[in-house]
Amino acid sequence: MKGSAVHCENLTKTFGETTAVEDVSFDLKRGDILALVGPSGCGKTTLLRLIAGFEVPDNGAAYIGGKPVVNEKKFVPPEKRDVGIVFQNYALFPHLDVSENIAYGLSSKGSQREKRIGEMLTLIGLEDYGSKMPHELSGGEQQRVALARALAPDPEILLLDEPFSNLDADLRTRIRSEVRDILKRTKASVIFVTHDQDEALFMGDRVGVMNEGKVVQVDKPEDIFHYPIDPFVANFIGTADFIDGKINGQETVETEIGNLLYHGEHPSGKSVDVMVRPDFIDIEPMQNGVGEIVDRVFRGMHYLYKIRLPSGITVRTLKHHTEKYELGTNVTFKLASEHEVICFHKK
Amino acid sequence: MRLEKFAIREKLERVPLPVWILGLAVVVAFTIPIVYLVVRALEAGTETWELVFRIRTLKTMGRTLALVVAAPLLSLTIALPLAILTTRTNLPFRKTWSVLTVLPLVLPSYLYAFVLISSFRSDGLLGFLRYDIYGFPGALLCITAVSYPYLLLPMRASLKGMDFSLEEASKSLGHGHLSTFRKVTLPLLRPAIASGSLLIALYALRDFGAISLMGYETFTWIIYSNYQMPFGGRMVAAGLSLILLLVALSLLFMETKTRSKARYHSSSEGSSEPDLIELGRWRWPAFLFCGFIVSAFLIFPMVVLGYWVVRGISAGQSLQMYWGAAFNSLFASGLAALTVVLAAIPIALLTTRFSGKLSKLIEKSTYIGFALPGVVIALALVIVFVGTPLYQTIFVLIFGYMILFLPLAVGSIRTSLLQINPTVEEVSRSLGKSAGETIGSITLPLSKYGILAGGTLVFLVTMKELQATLLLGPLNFETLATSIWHTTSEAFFARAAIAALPLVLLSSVPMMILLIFWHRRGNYERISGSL
Repeated sequence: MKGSAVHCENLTKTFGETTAVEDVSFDLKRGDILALVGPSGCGKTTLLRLIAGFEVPDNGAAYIGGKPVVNEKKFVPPEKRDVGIVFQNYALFPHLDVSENIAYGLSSKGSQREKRIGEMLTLIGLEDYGSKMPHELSGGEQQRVALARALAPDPEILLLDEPFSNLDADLRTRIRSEVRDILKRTKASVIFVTHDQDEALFMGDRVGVMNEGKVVQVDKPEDIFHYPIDPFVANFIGTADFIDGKINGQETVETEIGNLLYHGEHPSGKSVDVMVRPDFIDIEPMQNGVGEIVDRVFRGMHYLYKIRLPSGITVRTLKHHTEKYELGTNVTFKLASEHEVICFHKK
Repeated sequence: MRLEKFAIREKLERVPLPVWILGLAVVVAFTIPIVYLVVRALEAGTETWELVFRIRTLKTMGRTLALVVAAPLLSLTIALPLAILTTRTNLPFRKTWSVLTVLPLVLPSYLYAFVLISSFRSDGLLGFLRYDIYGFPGALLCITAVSYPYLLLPMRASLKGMDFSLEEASKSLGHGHLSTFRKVTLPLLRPAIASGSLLIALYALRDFGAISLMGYETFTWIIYSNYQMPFGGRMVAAGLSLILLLVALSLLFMETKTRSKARYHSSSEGSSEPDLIELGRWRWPAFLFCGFIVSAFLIFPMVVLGYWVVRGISAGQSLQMYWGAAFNSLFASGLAALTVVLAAIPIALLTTRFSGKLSKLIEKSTYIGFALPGVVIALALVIVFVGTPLYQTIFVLIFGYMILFLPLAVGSIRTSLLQINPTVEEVSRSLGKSAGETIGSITLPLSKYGILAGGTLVFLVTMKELQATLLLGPLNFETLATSIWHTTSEAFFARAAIAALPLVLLSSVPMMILLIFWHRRGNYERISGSL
């Protein structure tokens, strides 16, 4: 717990019949960004609100900066938690100007206060905007002000709830790298909630995938992508198809597209689901190939082909846009031999 | 659920303790007199109840119900065409008409009664008609003249907020303007019509000014006259109040039901502008219809008022005779606005920031004032305060106004509180401010327009208020409202006009403020179910 910004133990929260957060435990190191990602309704926002203190858990405990904020004995209200929060709608105080918004959470007075406001305005690159009112700002500017307001009191933990989802798609990519830059410069500890897997992989030092109230896996972005813990994570982060396989003991797994190297340990003879991502496998047209192209989607630089295998299962693969094949073409598979596939035990 | 105690505490603490105390104190304060009235009435002996259930009471009930049914019907025939003409047609000067047709709302019913009575006299402006305006026709006309906007406003709001694509879909399926109107628009208007009609029915039930001057004896009148009688008259009045209370509460109950239904029918995202109906050769007849309504209910009263003012001055009446009454009106209304708003803020905070059965109950109980005629509330307060040093002081009068007009202020403040995104307050909490500090630095500043509108509204209706002022005011406490009523009932029309002039002028300023405010927010619905 020492050196951790946030530590949760068995947090559970139900609303009537529905369980929003179920038995969630995790630890966030100081200065790290944890991106919580999951489909809508998976409980990620509720988890954020439990940490902020806007909701009281049914069970469990939470620590911020090593100090308990909720457990069986105590509940610390939001204003005493040393937490900064940025909401999806930014929630700037509409009756206060930019400086007053930023100064709202500061306890310092006089010149120290002015200095801090100036620092924050510089940090977000809006030096001349101090006396503007929130409605005069663009969406991206409002967002940065909300960020500065949350960071100004130097909170132990910063919580971001879908902060980019109100921005246009092209603006979003630019703003999120600006925001990541600001967060890294201030060495803030951050929990960032999103439903967008790209955003999670980009923003997070660590990514936590949530499903049905549970945190399924917390790992580095690369590991989440390459070594998902279960089919849900595999499907949610990136594109994945699953084919039947049987471990044949020779470090390979036997499938209808050939024998593939696998990652990890599995008992010989075990039946498994093998995860195949579109960039794992390559196809080549061949008269007697096992696969048949059943769909082709133009993706600009690539074509995404859908191929039906003899078992009826379909897998997807990417080809360069110069390689255009008609539907019904028979294909055979070429495998990148050094690539290890992930196998999941059949339920 | 080991942490449940914290959950409950945190929920309670969203509203700080002082707000809880103030809010509950207000609720207790305005409930006690009513409960006391009911208890005392139920305790009354059989003699009293025999007096209550006389044949005369039954006849009065008949007269009351006749007015309660007729006023909404007559209002509908006026308001329905006006609502459609001013929202959906190429009526000339559409925008102007849509403001002018709402304005009669500001006139009190007894003022219109003064206008009719003084005009239909043999020497009045309409004396040549030789028509006896007293009784049912006069009462009906007065009530309709000042209350038809209660129907007009929700219908217009409904027509404006309607999802126009529904009507476009109907037209694309081969239905013309008229058929679409009958099959799509009118059914969607039904909740607005029901809600507005019930408000007008409630207005007719509560009215005292017009029916008393017109000599049409409804329930409020016999309660008043029994109250004036010595020897147990007050107990009979209390018994009668109980019956009136039941009728009023059932009307109010029906109104809240229809209003909640109305929400399903209106869409907030009326995306496109509707096709305006081309009136063609009906354009100018429609123009004349609007002109006639505005003439009858707005211009005519002003002309009559002016006529009697001029006639009074030329007969040597002084324009300054009602300075005292004007001052009393301003003073009482100002004080009422301030008090009611201060009482309404904790109630509005409680009912929006704390969700639970208790807050629902509090919200509903504030609506008692909507249903209760001023005479019933006045009676309850008299029974509570008689014999105490507070009796017949301004304190009791303001107390009465608070019970009557609390729902207006609460409604206005609640609306603006509900428009504040809860995340704004949550951010304030996370930045280190307690629930109480957040209310002071975020919530109240953001709802200042709602608070201001609530205060203005209370000021406006207090200026017009008659029954409670008559019964609860200190001895010889004349306001403009009571002056108009007294002088009209004694047929001193020139004096009545001289008292009415400042009332109209003083009311029109806050009315303008409110109209501009509501117009800007596009929130007409609030006025319905308010004035």
